[in-house]
Amino acid sequence: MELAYYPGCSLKQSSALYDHQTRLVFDRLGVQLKELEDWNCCGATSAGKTDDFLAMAMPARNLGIAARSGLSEMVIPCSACYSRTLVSQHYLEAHPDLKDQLNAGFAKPINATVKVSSILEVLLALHDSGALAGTLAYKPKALKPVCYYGCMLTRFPFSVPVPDDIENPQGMERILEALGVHPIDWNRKTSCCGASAAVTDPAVAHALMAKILSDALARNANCLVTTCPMCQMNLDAYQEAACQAHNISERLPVFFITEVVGMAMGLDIKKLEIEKHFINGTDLFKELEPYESEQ
Amino acid sequence: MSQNSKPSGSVMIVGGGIGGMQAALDLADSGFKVHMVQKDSSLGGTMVMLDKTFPTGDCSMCMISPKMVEIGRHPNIEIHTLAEVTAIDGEPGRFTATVKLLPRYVDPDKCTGCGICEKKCPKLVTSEFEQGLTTRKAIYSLLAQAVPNTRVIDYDNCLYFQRGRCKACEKFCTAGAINFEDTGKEITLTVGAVILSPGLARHSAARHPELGFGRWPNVVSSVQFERILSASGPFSGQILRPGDKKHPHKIAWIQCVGSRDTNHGNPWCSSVCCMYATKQAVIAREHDASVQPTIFYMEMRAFGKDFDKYVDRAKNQYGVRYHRAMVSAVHEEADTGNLVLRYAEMDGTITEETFDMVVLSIGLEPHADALAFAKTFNIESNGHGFAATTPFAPVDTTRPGVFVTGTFQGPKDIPETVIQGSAVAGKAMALLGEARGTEITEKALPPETDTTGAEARIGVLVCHCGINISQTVDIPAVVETAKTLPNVVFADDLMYACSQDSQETIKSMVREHNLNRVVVASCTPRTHQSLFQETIRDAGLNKYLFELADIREQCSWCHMGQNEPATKKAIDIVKMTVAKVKLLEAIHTDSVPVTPAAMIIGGGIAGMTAALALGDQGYEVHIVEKTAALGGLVKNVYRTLDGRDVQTFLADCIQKVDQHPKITVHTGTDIKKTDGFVGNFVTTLSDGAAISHGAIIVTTGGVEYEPTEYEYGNSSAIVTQRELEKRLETETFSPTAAFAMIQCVGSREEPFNYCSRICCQDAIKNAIAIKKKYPTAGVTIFYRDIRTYGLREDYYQEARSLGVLFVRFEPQNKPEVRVDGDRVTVTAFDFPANRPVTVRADVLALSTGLRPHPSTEEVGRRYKLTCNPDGYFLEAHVKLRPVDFPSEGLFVAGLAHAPKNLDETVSQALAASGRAGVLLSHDRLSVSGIISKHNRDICMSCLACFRVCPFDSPFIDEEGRISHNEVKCMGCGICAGVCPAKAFQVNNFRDDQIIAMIDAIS
Repeated sequence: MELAYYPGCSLKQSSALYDHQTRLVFDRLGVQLKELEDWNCCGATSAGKTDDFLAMAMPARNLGIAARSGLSEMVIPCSACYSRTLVSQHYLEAHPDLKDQLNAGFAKPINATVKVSSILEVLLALHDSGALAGTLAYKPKALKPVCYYGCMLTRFPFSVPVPDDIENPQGMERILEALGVHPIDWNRKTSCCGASAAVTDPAVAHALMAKILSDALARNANCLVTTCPMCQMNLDAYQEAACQAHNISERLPVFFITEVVGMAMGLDIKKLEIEKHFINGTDLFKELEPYESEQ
Repeated sequence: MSQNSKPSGSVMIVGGGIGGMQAALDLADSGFKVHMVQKDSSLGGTMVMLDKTFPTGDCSMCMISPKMVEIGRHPNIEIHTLAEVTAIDGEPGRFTATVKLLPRYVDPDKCTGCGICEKKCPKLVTSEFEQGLTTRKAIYSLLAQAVPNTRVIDYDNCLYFQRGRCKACEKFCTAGAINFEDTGKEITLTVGAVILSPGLARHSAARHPELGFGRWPNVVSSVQFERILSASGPFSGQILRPGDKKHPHKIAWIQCVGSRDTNHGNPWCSSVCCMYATKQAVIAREHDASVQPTIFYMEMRAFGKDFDKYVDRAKNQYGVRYHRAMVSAVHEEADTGNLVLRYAEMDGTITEETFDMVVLSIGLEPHADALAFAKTFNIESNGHGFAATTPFAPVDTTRPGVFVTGTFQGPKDIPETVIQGSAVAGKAMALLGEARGTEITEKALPPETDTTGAEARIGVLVCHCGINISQTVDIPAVVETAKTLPNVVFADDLMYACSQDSQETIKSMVREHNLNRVVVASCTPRTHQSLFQETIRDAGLNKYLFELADIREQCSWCHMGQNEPATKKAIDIVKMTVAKVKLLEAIHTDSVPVTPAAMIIGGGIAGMTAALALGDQGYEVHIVEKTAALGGLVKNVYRTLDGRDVQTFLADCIQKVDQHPKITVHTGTDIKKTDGFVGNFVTTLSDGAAISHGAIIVTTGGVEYEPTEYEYGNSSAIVTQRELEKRLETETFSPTAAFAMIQCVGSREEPFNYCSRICCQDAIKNAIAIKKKYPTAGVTIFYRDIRTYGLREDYYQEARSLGVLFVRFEPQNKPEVRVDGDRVTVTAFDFPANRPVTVRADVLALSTGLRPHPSTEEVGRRYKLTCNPDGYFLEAHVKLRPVDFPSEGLFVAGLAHAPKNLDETVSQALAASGRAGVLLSHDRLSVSGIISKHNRDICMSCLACFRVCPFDSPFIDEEGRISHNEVKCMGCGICAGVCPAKAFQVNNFRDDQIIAMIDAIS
């Protein structure tokens, strides 16, 4: 299977290991990722906050490139990129005038509809088809995770349809259960981590992160699993500061879904670069039980 | 109906909730055969799930159970449960319905209702009735008091049906009632009219994941909370959290879950949630004084009769906290299971507050297959899936001969459902009047055993009332003591003495032990005496040989938690009752003929509607109207909220009344006096005419309040809402005119602390009319709560989308009005803006509300009717007898009863016609046995009785001595109390009987 792949800026810079893991995991799953040629920034928060036209136009250009690729589906691991691109696609469907205007200026106009998928949607499809089970080697028994979706993955402006429950999404839980890991239900699945406020207004961001971490700790979780590079970086890199500001003594590693899946596939810690996190979680992967399919 | 075929005297009622039940009883009591088609395995509907009812706190089950039993034993009612109508053909007067009956796998004719099958069934299934809070068996009855009282096998969960082995129920059933071979069948019914009362569905709280229902165990739906409160519910009436069975203290109610919500819910207001949440909070406090209830609400819609007072009582007496805020998220505290509610305060500050338990006030929806239902019956739906009706004909569907009642017509509470139940009965009676009595069977009673002079043989049955009595009173101790009392030959206990199988138990007890007196120690004679009296009559005893020992309302309820003294008191009550019942004698009652005519006092819409419905039923009707013309208050109303032409409707109505051969109109006329009694009134009018009639319907109406507030009268720019309505019809305004409106003028404040119910809609109706005609005109409405309940909410939304502005004020800080030349300025504090706002208006309309009609007092005095504190007539029972007066033969409808809208007035008038129709359909009425008996031989004619009797039943006869008209006597006993010679003795309350009671425990 071939998928168009939009890594976005995060996966090229601050969260390069997410890009790396994504490629490894999808390779195991027999999925070839075709990175978009000459892709541009999705506009992220900056365009969305400052310029309505750019907010739609920047992801639209990538949609045009994706359409030219001839592939029917594009995976976007970053929640912000996914959200911006999906919203732009839906907005342009509803506003053909703007779409025509943009297409007139694009070298690669949007002339086909490519399905925009989050990494979870792709993994879930592979789980449902049975492909995921075929790649599993170990159960990471020691993990007692809470699934953290962040605020972007299930909340969109306009009436863009959400592929999961908005308030209590279940996609990550389903994947983890398939790996033999039992996630814990909690309050903060879709709470905001503070996002860019971690840089501009650390006090606010720390308070938000402290709420997330406190609830996870209160429910006896020993790690968080997420799909969003922004959330992962905030909760990992600023966890020390947030915990100190709010008198939290324990620390929780924050994993990407890809490293948990990767470890279950038998990829090793080094190869997945798990030791690159600020909060070390490698111990949690020491206890691996051979995977036996339940069927 | 073709010319030569006669209409059928049968009516089919589809849906066995309280609305359908009311219609069934009214029709069956007035000579129609009724087929009740019920989808569930028992009658009951929604009301049986409720614990108590607002605003009186009456026990829901105790009110509905006697009605269910009455239907179950009514000779004119045939119940078809597990049944669905699949097709209907024909026309008004003669419909043919195809009804599909699902297999029950239990033969109700053989089943004794003993319940052994249920005990022995090994399969546990989540109980739908208990809202998933507990389990039931695969063979079960919907509720303990099910009618018909038998069980049903749940095919999908039965081990035998699913896995081919078990049959435990069959093994243990001594009656041989289990039938695994049962198959569904199809029957055909021929009926003259069809009544649809399929009831409601409840909004699924799970559709609001942010509120945590189904995720956090201590978040429950309001129906779950009803079950939690209920003594027969999963926690036996203890307030416990489902998560850990701990007693919650801080409980939050979140209102409008699924109502007034176009995103995840329904656009309409569900009408009942503000009040049921208030009731639940009050009852929770009564169960457990440590409960601190908070109700989070958008708008407090306490629009019904005495509702605002109830909310005030909840606030002031019970400490219920009402907080105006929409809760945006419910999170669970990890270690405690408590819930953190997030909401915005009035000024926009985000707050988090922790509660032990959260109740989601879920709204009402049309039942799940309402649209399919509409298709089967070939009726139109409104835009929301409810049956389409109009304000002028609120119980008529779009198909003639098919009527609708209750929540299928729109969200409403119990009394309004009951009103519509009687209203559809009235409609069906009017349609099928000539066929009355053609398809019924008279109930055959066994001959009465002559007990004269026989030694008393008393049977005593002690009722557990679920746990209502047994959790406080030691029932076995009461039974054992009863057995030792003189003349008691048998004593036993019953779980629910009122259930249908208990009636069979009582009957066989009478026969087996050859009893001639029966005592049931249970709830209250008020609701249940007549049921047991009928039962012993069925067993061949005179019904007055029965006494009810009240060990619930006068014992277990008021001495809750004091088990030992309560048990002692219960034993004493039983001793006293047994001592009395020993002295009871059979009473044989007279009957009197009924004059098949009605007098209606007041010729407004209520009076005319009732008159037309009764006239169509074939009864003679007299409308007595004080003023020179028919019409009443509606004369000044031009449009309904949905824009229909009221004046044309009124003119039609007057014309129909004038042309009706059965109706006589007496305008410009007063009543001079009314003599007689139920069934036999004679009224003399001010013009000297004398009318004979069997029933009286009081439709004296109300008046509009004339304001003194807000500079009314000091400027032509300040008008009432009604005056504005007229000006909008007749004048042209500038396209940029500014209109302001102020709500609750003279309403919802002492001394008139009630909601006038119509004013919010009047304001919105006029606001919409303005915006539609002059889109650039400004309209600002200053309000306290917008009470566009039910489907009226659509118009509130429409007004907002048309640009009408709404500014909320609180009663202690009312808008200030200043006359400013020929304009007016209105200033009020705006909460969202957090500062005062001022509107300069060309017109200020005051929403002035309603007052009781000035004649109410006089009419009340004449007919001995009481009023509520606001001066509106008080009905016999707020929930279940909403158009009856306590005095027999008198009925009420329209504004005389309470403020209401036109459609509600029409429903209530039709209901009064239905109730009066029941009375007038009888050739003769039997007189109550509990009356005062006069012994003329020892009477001194001192006139003490004559002076005090409220019913004028003692009179001075031709010999100048006191005689007694027993027909007028209501058995109140005042005469017996004042008579120095003891010449008056009330049947069953004779001095010797009362003294025996006292002696029994002294």
